[in-house]
Amino acid sequence: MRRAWPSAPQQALNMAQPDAASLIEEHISELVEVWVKAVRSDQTIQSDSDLSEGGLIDHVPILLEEICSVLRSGERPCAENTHEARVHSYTRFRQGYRARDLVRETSLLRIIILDHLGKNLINGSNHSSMELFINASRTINLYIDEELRYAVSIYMESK
Amino acid sequence: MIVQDDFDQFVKNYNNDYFYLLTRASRGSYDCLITSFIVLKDLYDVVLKLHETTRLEYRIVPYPLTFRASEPFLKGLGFDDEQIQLIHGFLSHVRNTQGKEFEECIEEGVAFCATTGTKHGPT
Repeated sequence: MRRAWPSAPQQALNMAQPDAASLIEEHISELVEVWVKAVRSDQTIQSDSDLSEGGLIDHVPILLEEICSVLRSGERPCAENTHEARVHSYTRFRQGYRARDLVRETSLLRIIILDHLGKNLINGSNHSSMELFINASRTINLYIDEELRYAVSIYMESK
Repeated sequence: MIVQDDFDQFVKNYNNDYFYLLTRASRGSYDCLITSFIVLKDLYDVVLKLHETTRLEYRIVPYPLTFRASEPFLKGLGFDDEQIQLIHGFLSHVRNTQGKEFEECIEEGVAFCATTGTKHGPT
């Protein structure tokens, strides 16, 4: 019989991360602004050209709020707690966004959140702040991956 | 074992119900709407679970059951500004009548119906 992988994400993620959640929550507008600039200036993304600023921002602030809520709960991101991420992908799908552009803009969002947390959480070689950053990054990565899993399904499977 | 055609029909029914409930909210017809959303959430969970755990595909994409519907999402479904305002008004209505947020009611699966004076939840 195979033994379970000791660091399987399901078991490892059971610690609430309220500090990381607050750091994101207090800067949602700023993060969205940085993200909009990043998307607009990314030459590889073309689907955004027809969207107004409101259309581009879309559901992203609400998605960030949901990330904060998942961080606070300490739950592992899964279909049951990533509702707003699905709204983001679904809206892009309906807006005629190309799948690869959705992946790229979501990737930019991931980098912006992680950079923001890294800048604010990691103080020198403080071990606990490093641990906090790693745990929060893990949750955020799983959350974004959950959104992308859903995006792949709707882009590939729908008739 | 549920087959793809049944699943498609299941998703179609869910989509129709969801759109109907949003339409009711967009007309300001809020009475006992929260109870209907609680029932619909169960249906939505089944759709997600079936998709996650079987080989069934989203040939018909289910509307994502959002708790904080954004304007681009609702506009994409065909609602105008006035209707969107009334849909958002439903969230305030829930807060006022239930004493908690819409998503809390949905997650807990229990709501108080002000019109009939009864408490609704899963049986």
